[in-house]
Amino acid sequence: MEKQDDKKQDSQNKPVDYTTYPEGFNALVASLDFIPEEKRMATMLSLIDNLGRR
Amino acid sequence: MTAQEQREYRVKLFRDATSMERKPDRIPHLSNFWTWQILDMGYKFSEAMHDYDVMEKVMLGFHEKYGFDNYQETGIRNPQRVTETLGDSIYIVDDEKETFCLKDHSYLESDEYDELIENPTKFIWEKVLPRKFYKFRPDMDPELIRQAVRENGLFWTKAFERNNKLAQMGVPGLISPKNGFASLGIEYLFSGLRGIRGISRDMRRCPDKVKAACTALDTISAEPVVQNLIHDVPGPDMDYCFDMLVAILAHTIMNRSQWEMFYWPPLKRILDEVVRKDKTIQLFVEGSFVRFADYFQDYPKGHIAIQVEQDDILEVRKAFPNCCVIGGMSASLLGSGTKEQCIDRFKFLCDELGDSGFIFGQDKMISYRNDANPENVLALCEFVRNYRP
Repeated sequence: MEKQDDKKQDSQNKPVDYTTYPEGFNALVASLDFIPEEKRMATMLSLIDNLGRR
Repeated sequence: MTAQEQREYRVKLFRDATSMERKPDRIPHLSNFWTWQILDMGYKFSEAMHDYDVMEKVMLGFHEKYGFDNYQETGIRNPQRVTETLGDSIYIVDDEKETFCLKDHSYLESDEYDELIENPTKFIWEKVLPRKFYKFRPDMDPELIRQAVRENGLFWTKAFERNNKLAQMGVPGLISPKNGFASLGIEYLFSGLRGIRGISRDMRRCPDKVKAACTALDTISAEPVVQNLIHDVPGPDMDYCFDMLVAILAHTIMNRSQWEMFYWPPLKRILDEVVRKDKTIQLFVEGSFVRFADYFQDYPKGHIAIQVEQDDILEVRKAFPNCCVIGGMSASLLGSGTKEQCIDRFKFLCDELGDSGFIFGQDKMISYRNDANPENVLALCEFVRNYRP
């Protein structure tokens, strides 16, 4: 029981790899607290468009 | 005229020219000036690209000085501040030499097509962005992305502010935002991901994968724009000079069978819908294009305007008799000729290209100081404004 709790604890404490998709991507979308929630995904996709193409 | 009246007048000039049937009151004059604008207004490239107040002074000052009817570039091509938030830009800017060059780059390896095809957004996020931007790292501070988002938002806010101020000076928007700019997947692959050498090889070695990659990229680049078009109300948006824009560059490395396979299907889909919805589209073409003219023969007049670069505009008119042509002013004359030669060139084109179907502009993207002599540009702009062929 203690080992399973430890594993769960480790998983929760594991830092997010922000370059993963969708995990890291979604974590960064959630961090855009200065943007209304319903607009965050479109905002991030607009950024990716500018970063990816130019 | 009031600013509103000037905007309406200018939109009508472009719409009448594109119709190929109505004679515009005079020939519309479209600016194909790019970074030259910054130098002519007395600034350095890096100044204008990093200071939006400077970029605004450049764009508004340029219009005040020359008075074109519209502008291909209003400071939105190079979002340097956005990209530099996460690391280097793909451009090399040298203010001393006054050069602005694109780094040769490839962010997609030849054995990674399946990953890209599976999920292009995932591929761009996990592979392209880390290769392109040294600060885009697994343990990056989320504040970096928040800052990039703020810079992206600011970039577009300032772009709209510049366009609004130009509108107050009588310049209408060039392309309707309802349909806007459609970047085809093949263009994304060509200039954004694989590079010229890579895509040239891949089109021969693994054409099916290139085709599938283009289709996958279209889902995130061109398709949203196409869906807007499909669901838009029919008819032109008369607040703007054109309803849509597609930039065409990747064809420059294609033979006809490659064009047929990779380029024509998505482009045809857009053109078919533009015609069905009775709208207009500007095709901004780099390089030579006449060898693909037969693909466009069945489209009715009144919908397509082709901006040409290397081809002789008179040859383009013959090859595309159903399309409005944009361009014709030789950059070499603008740079090294006399005012009289520039004006004579314009008058010659008016005589040759008829009463409709012609929008005057420069035959290349005017970028560096010697590309044009300001005195010639001034004289030409004034002449075009007053000439009634």
